[in-house]
Amino acid sequence: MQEFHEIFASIYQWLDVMLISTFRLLSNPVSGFFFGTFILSLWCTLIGELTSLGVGRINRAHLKKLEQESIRLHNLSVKAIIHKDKESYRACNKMANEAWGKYFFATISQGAASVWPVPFALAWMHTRFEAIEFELAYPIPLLPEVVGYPAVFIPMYILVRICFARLKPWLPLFHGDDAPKVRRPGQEEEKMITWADVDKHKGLPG
Amino acid sequence: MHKKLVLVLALLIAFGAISIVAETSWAQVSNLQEAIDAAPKGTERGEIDPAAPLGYLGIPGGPQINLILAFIWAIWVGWIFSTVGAFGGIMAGVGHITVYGLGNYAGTFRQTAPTINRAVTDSIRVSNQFMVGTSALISSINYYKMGRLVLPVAAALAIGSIAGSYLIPLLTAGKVSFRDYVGYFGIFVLFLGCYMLYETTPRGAAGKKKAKQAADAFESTMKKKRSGEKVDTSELGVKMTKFSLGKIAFTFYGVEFSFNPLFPIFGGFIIAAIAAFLGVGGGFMLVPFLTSVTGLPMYLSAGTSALAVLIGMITSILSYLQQGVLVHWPLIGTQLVGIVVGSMVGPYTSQYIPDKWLKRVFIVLAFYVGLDFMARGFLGKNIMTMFFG
Repeated sequence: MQEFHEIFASIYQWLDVMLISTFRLLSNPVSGFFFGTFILSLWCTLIGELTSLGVGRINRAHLKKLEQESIRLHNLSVKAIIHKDKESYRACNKMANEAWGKYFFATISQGAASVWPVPFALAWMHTRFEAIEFELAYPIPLLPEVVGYPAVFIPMYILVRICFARLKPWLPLFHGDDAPKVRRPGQEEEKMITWADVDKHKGLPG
Repeated sequence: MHKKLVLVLALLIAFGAISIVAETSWAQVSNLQEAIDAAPKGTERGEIDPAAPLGYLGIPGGPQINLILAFIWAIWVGWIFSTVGAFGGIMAGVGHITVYGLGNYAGTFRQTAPTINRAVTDSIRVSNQFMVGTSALISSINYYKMGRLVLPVAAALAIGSIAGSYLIPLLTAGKVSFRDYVGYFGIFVLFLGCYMLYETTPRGAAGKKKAKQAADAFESTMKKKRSGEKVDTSELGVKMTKFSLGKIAFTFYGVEFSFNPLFPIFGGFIIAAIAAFLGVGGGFMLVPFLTSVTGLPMYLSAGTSALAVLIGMITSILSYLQQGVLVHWPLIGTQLVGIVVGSMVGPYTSQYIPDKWLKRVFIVLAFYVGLDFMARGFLGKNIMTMFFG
């Protein structure tokens, strides 16, 4: 156990040195803080997305099976409503919802995989920047005049994630079919019949 | 449209995050500090030893969170998520309450320093929501992007959700003792256990069996039909036929449906209130509710409920944090990693355990946890000592 703590302490020390170095790159402390936070957000996004990608690949077969089942039942429910068969619609929809619930909980791992670095980043920032205060230039309702380090980190992280999502199609590793997103309708083996399809074809497509 | 929605969500989260930070980092830390200062000093039960090393939430002598134990427990939670579903959230709560020693520690301050007792209780509640919620949030955003929304229903649900998620923390944060919380958590788990048991009875299974038979029958009928056969599609999409406070009636591709708009508001309120009080997600209650009350198809109920869960959860977490609830970030991070590992192991191991057995195991577990927590909460004894002395 003691050995484990020593290993953990040395890893933490190494990480601490690495993470703080980007905060010291710029001579102006405020710019340095913003730049360092940006790089930290980038790390969190990248590590989270890579983990999510890996988890997606490992669980692909299982998730696909669950997804296919919910799509099959959903499509049946669409067919039932198009045939004005309310009873069959209710039955198929009930089954589809159950299957969807199973699929939803199975995808929770991907959610956890993509955000896990964030709490650690916040914990690390707490050790380094607990005392930092920013005075708001303009008063914002519900907010006090002075905010702390997470007020910079969390919005920055969200912005980095949005930008990353937009860049994904051009990024190696992330643009393929294995991308860890929940596939949108139309990309599955049995295609999900959307209501837009029904409207477009004025009935069942195909 | 999607991009705009994502942007609105992002802004909402960003705004929320800023308030979290502002509120928690400074003002609320001092509340706990005041409680620590006011607590009786010493080394006995219910006393604070200022010389002791800082533990959970920076309380001197507070439990040292064992991150290895937290990681292992979270693997179990992740395993349940990937095999059984919503019960994973319950098990996350059990971990916070019993496994990491937080519950026992909070209990020691029941008489001597109630503020510390309540602060630890609230921290457990919000930690649960953070852990399960953030993971569900990412999945929900994907569904939200995927599904179309039924705005009147989403709005009704959201009104209820916001009210429930805001009011419960506002009314209960800092007021619920650990024992009460555990008791109510027990009632919820026992109720869930009863529901799971009911589903296994012939009567409970009949509804599901009937639905399956009807779905199978319809599927075979469809297979016999020629593909591309013309059907009457004179009435496409949703057409509102009646809109009043008591009834919303609409035709959905020519088939009539109706529901009382007050149901989603009350349903959203009650579900969000339970979720916020116990520190659970709520989506697992919302989707079946939405489908049975409004008859919404899966494709639409997924997106609609995802939005309601999202709004409810953000409101609830913010509301807790505004009341001064602190979070142990390394614990949350470690548990998220554990959930990931557990969810990856789940599919590979669950194939060796029949579904029926899995259900039975969780029914027994739900009854045990439910009764034990109720006994702890309302009688001050654990179930083992009650029966075996």
